Amino acid sequence: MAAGVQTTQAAAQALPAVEKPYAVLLLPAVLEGVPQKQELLLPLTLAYLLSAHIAFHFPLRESALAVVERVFDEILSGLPKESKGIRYQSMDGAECASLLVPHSSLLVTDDRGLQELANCDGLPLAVISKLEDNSNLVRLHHLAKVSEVGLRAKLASCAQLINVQSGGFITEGHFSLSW
Amino acid sequence: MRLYILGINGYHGDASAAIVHNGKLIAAAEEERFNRQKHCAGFPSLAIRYCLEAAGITAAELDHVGISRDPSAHLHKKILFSITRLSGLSGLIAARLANAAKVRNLREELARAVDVPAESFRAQFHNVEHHKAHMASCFLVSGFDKAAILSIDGFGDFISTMWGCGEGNRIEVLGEIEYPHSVGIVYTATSQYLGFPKYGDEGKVMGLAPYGKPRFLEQFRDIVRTERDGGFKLNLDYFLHHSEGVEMSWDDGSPTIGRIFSDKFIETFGPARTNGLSLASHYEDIAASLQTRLEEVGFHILKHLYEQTGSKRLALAGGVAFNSVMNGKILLHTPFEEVYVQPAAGDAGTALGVCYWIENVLLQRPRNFIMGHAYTGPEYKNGQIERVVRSSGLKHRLLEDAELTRTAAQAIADGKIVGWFQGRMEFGPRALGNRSIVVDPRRSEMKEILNARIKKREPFRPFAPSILEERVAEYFEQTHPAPSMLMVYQIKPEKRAAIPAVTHVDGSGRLQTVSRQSNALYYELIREFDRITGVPVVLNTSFNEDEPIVCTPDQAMDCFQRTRMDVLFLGNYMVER
Repeated sequence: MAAGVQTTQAAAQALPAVEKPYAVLLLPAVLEGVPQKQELLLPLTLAYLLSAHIAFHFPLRESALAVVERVFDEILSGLPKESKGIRYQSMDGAECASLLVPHSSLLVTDDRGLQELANCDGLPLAVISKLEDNSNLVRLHHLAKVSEVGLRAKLASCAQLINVQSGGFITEGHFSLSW
Repeated sequence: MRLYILGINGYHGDASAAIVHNGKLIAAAEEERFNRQKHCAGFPSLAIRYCLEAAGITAAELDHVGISRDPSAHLHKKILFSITRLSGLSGLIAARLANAAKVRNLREELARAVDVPAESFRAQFHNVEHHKAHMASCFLVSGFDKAAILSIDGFGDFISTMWGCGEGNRIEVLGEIEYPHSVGIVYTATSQYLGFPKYGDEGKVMGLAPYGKPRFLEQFRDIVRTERDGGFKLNLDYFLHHSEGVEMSWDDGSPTIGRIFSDKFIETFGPARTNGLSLASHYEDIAASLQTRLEEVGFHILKHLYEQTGSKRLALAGGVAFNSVMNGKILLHTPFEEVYVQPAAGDAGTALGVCYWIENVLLQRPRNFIMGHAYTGPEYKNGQIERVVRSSGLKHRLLEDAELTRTAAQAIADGKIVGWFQGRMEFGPRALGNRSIVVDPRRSEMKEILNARIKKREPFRPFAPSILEERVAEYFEQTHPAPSMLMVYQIKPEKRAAIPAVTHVDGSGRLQTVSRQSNALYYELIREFDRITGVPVVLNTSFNEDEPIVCTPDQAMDCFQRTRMDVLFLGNYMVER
């Protein structure tokens, strides 16, 4: 599918190496079993927004597929499908690390352990973390290596919005979005 | 086990704090009463200090602290909305957020407020989603074991309306309406268009509506479109908030909101009324149309909610729940038979909701408190009041309780404007007989006299009656209790001439039903007035002059001396000029 999120596994088995550039959405929860909806909402939203600029590969176990599809349905309801696609890849963590990640142009993950990998390889990386106070934080690494200007800007904007919105309260001044 | 919970509404209009000990509400108050900035939207430092003092504990002894906002709630929707709807602006938004907003977390802010290191807190900190706090604030203190719940306001945590079912310690959310769709926003936008731009001005438009005819109802039906699932959607062509954002600023003071209505509003209804221009019937008709549509949409949601829950009891909260005209018609237009509206139904009340969400829902401790009145603020003993009275240099005398109410009732019956400052300050926007100005409702000229001498309000705005609870049926078409002055009922036609100063142009009155149980002294005052006049009703308006309602005896004395009030009953002291 050229645009929109690929929601079936069967049509999504193309080798990533021939589809460069691509990004990887790597979430340990979907590689280990059945994830919680709350774990998926933010990473899937971020991947969808970025997928307007770059195709994604999303490795997951079959047991996670149903909940992933439900969450995607909820996120995408009523939105324009501006996406180069998010392709499910049925593989485990090790396959993902050896096959997908090394050739990717961007890695989006909630696995803080991958921060070290990014630092070693200089791979552009967005790490979504849940902090002790239940807020979310997105850390970007090697952003300058993202060559596509639109993707870089979108990534920076999304990260900043998430961090400001989630990280605390706007206590004074002016805020243009009155929700 | 001893358990203290502090609830906070901060960084929203009407910042406030509440404290609960073992399930009992110890204190609750708005920040504006202490810092004297109307609808203050900063952090409620002074209200928190008051709550801790009232509970007799330090912040270090708190077990739980919660705030009625959860930045993580619906976060993905906020991000999606920003990036996909405000196309081309995402970079700008991010830059503005970074440059203009100061962001702090709750623990640090509380530490600053009470001047202790954050490390000294043993409490667990919680974020409670805005509308869940509203729902908790009405249902969990309503005394209803099971009820339908509706929370409806402008916005909070990306949601404008949330409904559900409460049973025991459980609150189940059955539906919600997301940004940018909000009837609260429609009311605010139309109020702006009508020349009432200040935060909280929506009540003025509600008061204006009975002067007009709803001849623009079809246009408002186009602006707010009801849906089959009980919800509604806005025709966004009429608004700016979804496309350009709306600037809201407060800088630790009163909030101000940028223009929400679009040029489509002007194309449809003509030029907006600028503040100060006279209110032509055209604008009154727009107000009437807005109010009628709000009621239609409100009843649409409520009928659906009744079908979902099957409960004939309703707990109601959120800023739109201050629309007492709509509230008063709920029993007439929906299947509900009992309605509980918490006195601080707006955002201030979410501080209370946070406490009970933590106490009853999170901790699953038993419900053991019913909020039967709003008197949860500071109180002052006669010893403290004596200092204020003496330093004023005014003529004064100390009265026994019985003499106090008799003397005050006689002064009211004699046509005097009476300041009535007693007991604990009210929580919520209404003065309910403890921080009130009380006058004779039988005198039609009283409305003009009050406005000329003290209140300076727009002449179209009505004044409200307080009535002995057991006498309501004599004067009003409906008798469901309204202890928080959040219901408007029709006054019986044959009684309107008896209480003209509190009868609105359409024959309605926003009544406060007063029982001995909820406020014995105020009840006695009205009873004395009834003994003298045969009318069990007084006109009750808030003790203030274009400022937050007075909190302390000093503020009351200052207001008394500044205005042309005739006599002040400050505790048991009677003060005259």
